[in-house]
Amino acid sequence: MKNRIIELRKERGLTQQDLANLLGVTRQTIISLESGRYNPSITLAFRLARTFDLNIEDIFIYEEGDGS
Amino acid sequence: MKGSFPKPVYILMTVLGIALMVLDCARDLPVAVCAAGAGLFAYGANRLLGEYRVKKDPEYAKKMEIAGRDERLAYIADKSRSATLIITIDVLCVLGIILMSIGMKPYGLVCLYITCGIAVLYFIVYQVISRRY
Repeated sequence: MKNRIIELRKERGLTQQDLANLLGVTRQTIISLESGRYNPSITLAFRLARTFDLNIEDIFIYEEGDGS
Repeated sequence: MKGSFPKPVYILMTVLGIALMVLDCARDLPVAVCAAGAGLFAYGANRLLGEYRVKKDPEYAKKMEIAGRDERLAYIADKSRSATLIITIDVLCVLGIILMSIGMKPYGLVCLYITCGIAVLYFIVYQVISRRY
């Protein structure tokens, strides 16, 4: 699944470590999320959305065939 | 640390590990005793050192706490466990067939029985977990 995490993080002037600290995850998880190698759980997706003050759909772009 | 036993368990494991290794050196015991001792010692000492470091180094403790809660690491651990199970079943199955075909029927049967046991256990665990979710 594609996402806008890099773009949103840079817009807010956050480093990967800053975002990791805000979400309570490791920096490696942020790297995996940004590269689209790992899709977060619904809980982490909500935490991300709240951190960026957006809706989940504004961060993650679901396309047919994702997750199949 | 998540999934930890109380500290005395690790102390007991370490002491038992050392005792088994010393016993193996003192008397002519099977090599499996020394191996079991080394395993117990390595696991117990590793956990004790980890706990000591968590107590002494707050930075490391924070790192470990985050790693313990990180969902990606939990996902990787789950994936690794399931892959290990599949590999174990495949290897035991192939080993069982090879051992049977070279005339080591009892050992081959043990491998195949273990394979069946794991498959049955998987089915039971699957049924139990599927009721929870």
